[in-house]
Amino acid sequence: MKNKNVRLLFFIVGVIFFLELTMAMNYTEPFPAILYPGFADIPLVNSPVQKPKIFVFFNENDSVEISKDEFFYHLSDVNTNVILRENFRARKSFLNSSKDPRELEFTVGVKKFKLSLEGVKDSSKIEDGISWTKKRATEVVGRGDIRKLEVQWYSYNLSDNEEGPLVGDVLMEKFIVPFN
Amino acid sequence: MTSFYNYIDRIIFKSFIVSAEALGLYRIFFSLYLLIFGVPVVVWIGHFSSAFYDPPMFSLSGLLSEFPDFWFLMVISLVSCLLPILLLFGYKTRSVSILLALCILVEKSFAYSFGKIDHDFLMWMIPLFMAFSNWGIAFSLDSKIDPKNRNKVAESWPITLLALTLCLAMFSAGLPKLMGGWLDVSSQAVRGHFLREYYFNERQDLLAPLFLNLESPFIWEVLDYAGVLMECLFLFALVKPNIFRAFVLIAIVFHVLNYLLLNISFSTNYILYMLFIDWKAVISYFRRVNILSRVEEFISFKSLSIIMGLQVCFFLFYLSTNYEAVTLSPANFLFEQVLNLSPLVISGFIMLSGLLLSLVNAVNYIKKNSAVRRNKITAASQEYIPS
Repeated sequence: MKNKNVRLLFFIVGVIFFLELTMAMNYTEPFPAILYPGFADIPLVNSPVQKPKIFVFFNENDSVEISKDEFFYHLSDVNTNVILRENFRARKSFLNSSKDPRELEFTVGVKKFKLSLEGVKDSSKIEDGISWTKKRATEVVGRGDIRKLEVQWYSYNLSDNEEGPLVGDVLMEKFIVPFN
Repeated sequence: MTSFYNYIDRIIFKSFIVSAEALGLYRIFFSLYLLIFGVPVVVWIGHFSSAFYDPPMFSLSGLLSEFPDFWFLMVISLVSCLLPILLLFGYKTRSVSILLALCILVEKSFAYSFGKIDHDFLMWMIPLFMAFSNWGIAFSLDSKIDPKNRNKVAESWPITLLALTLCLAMFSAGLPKLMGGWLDVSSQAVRGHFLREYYFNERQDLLAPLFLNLESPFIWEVLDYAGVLMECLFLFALVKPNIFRAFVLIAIVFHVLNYLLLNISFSTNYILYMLFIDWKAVISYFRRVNILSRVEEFISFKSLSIIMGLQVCFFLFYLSTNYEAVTLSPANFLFEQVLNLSPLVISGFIMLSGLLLSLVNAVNYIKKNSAVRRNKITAASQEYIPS
């Protein structure tokens, strides 16, 4: 490669980086990107944390808790938590036809523009998600008479007690996937 | 203005001058790292419903509306498991490097379509940039097939470009912290993140339990400041190669601390860090113990076909027993499946070996440089004859 092109390449990499950084700090993180995680927020030591538990309910009204690790094919804890957070909550439910409506706002001159970047899910995709959830729950518990799956979100506070550092376990939300 | 351009040119073209042998050895090191510690495989994505498909807004995978077909995932996984072997033997090195980078990029695009992005871009960026360094001119089949390939020049600008991406990426981690109030002494950000990781993501191994009871705001604040300063100042590290190397050493220590405290491993970075060690010393050591001639002998089509065959067998066996595997890794298989050890053991091994190697290398480098300086001073004093 000619030296002139190499210099241009360095310049382009620099420009792309600053565009990506601006995008990540103001809108959302693009991929691929020359970025490392910012961890800009400062989690308050005494702020509660929310953790999910997965329960399977059967036709005879009995239920069992299943491990999220097993349910999600032993993906890492971080990934499992992200899938649950992004799909199994009322606010961001995979049962909704559209989720996480996102808009990109930009200004040209004095005019403001909005570009909808919302991902829309058709009903077949939602049906696919429900049947996947049922199939996976059936595989994990080894029973076919499953009525529903519940993801229960509990809020915990940190305590000074080393025996039980998390206290509270207040039920904050029940996300239900019905199989009827 | 001309002097400014000269300065920029000196940084781009002369900061990290390397020999063809060093590039060849680094290529082998990079390929071995992938082959032993993990080539990404994405067959596991085939498990999941497209209802969970949530690609980043601006991404390659954002062009599709659902996960690709199982057979596509299978083929791209197999191809990306075989390409590092071709790279190891230096066969069609430039094309193979670019193809490997594209395969990993496509795989990662789909793997990060669940809502979480890991920041291991170096895994595809290294082969993409190094493809232009001519890292296939030594210890390669390319040089054996056509000896003219040996006359190609070892380019060092791709190494500077990788160094630049590292500086920029580090800055991208530091700036949000700086703007987010990490330097505010009334709050301890590292402690907050530590507790969140400890309880929410259950990262409770290694030294994490020891830090749980550490309540000194001063120590936690020092960690806040150290992280922000290191990441932000990295942007200026390229002004001199040795300053950059010092920053790399600090970054290695920083990653080891992160690993011990937060149980987060950034082991992918170590492949890049190794590019900046003193390869002259490594080469002269390898030459002394006859490793280089053995490597030359090993690079042959016969060895290539044997290793290719073994890799295909391992791929089929591994995926039939570990359908959920996110990487094809003999090391993972040995440590996690056979010996039942935590994944932290492998990343710990990589990080601590990296730390050790870098420290030994740095000490040797400093010793060598001070010896050269001493010799120069002695020579200068001998030349000076008082009247």
